[in-house]
Amino acid sequence: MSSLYDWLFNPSGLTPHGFCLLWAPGLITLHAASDAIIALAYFSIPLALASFASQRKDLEYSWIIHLFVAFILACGTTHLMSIVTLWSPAYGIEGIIKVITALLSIATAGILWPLIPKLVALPSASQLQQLNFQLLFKVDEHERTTQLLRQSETRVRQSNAELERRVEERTAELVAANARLSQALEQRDLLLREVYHRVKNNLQVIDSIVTLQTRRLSDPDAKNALQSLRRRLYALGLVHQQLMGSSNLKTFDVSPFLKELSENIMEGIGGRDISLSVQAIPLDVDLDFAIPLGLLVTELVTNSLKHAFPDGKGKIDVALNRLEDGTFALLVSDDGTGYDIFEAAQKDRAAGLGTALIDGLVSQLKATIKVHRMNGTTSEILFARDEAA
Amino acid sequence: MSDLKKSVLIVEDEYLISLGLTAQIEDMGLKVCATADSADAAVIQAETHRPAIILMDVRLRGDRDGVDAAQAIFHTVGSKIIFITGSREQRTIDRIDQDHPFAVLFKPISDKQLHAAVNDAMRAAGHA
Repeated sequence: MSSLYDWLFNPSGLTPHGFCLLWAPGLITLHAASDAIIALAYFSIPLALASFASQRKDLEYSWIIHLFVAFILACGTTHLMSIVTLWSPAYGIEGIIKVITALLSIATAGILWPLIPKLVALPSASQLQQLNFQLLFKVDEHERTTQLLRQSETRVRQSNAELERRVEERTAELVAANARLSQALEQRDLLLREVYHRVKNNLQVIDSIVTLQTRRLSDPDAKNALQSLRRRLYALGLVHQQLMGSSNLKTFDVSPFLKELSENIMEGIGGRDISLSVQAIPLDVDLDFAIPLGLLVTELVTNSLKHAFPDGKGKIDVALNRLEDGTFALLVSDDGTGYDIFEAAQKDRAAGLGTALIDGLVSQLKATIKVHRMNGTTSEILFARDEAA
Repeated sequence: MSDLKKSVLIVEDEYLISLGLTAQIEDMGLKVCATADSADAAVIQAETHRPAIILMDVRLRGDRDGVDAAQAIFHTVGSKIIFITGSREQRTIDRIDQDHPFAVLFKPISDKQLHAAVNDAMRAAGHA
């Protein structure tokens, strides 16, 4: 143990370094001072480096700084030992310190070379600054884009709201217009019903006057003429009654109309045994068509009642059919003695009016009439579908 | 119903139609006890004359119509009521139907329809 201590600090027989310099005060001072300054500097530099490394925790390869710290500290220590060995022959410990310094130096040198490319590859501050600048520019650009997006989003939302508002407005307008139209339609319907009602009432008033007039007459021809007039008035009134009951106030089914009309005319049979049958297909007709048709049926059924049954017995048929070619056929037939209405017209001026009415109404309907006399009399009136519509 | 007289009350605000109906009823050999042109007059006449049959127009002078008059008469007098209406509107028909009508005739009324309805009503009232 004492031999290791002696080897380290006082190998036997060796003299301090100052002895070699013959203790010349100038040289001793020069060496000691120079080594002291170097040692101070060499202790100061690694302290500065260590401080730098500890403050910059983000540094890549900071361990190399610590290697430098160790290496420079070691160097500093060798210079300190040079001062010591001027006066004390501690060449053992000086050598060991030099060995440590050598190992640290060679390790640092050896590690540094291969590290150079990697250190070079590290971005420099100016490069980082430039990158930073580019990044800032991009961030700025991104922010501008975001702002533009946000602006256009706001505009889209605004125009959306505007659109919705307009749709709502338009819908409200349409609903209001619809309501106005419905109201107008309702008023029209009300007005039409009122008109039909008044027409009917007036016809009823005329009928009352005719009835009262008839009671005061004694002439049977005059009474008959007024009864014919009442039948014609009834046909007109019945058309309006049917129109009032129809859902569209424009058209109605002709079939129940023909039945009711014909049955009313049969009131004129007196006590005779005459039957009536009405067979009509359903057909929608309007006022303009129903009036001439109703008057025609009135005249034809009345004629049969007046002329066909001198013996007071028989049968009247009213039929409305659709033929294969689409035309419609109105048939009024009886099983009485065949009569010629034109012959009757020459004898009876009232019958003459009926004949004229039949001719006129047939032409108004753009129809044709054929009269057959076989087992009674059959009047066949043909009209086209378009005329009925 | 036997306390009701074999006569007809005509309720119609159109004078000429009322006159025509009177003639038609008289031609049937029946008596017209009175005519009225408003619901109120109809109620008074019905209570005064107690007719077996009332021919009742729906549209009348004044605020109340034939349906209102019929309602009152049905409960106090009990006459058979034959409505005569120019309207085929469902609203009117629904109102009439609530009102115990004996018959409903739509203008124009044929002699035959009137005769049949009046004869049926007389039978129902016990005046064959």
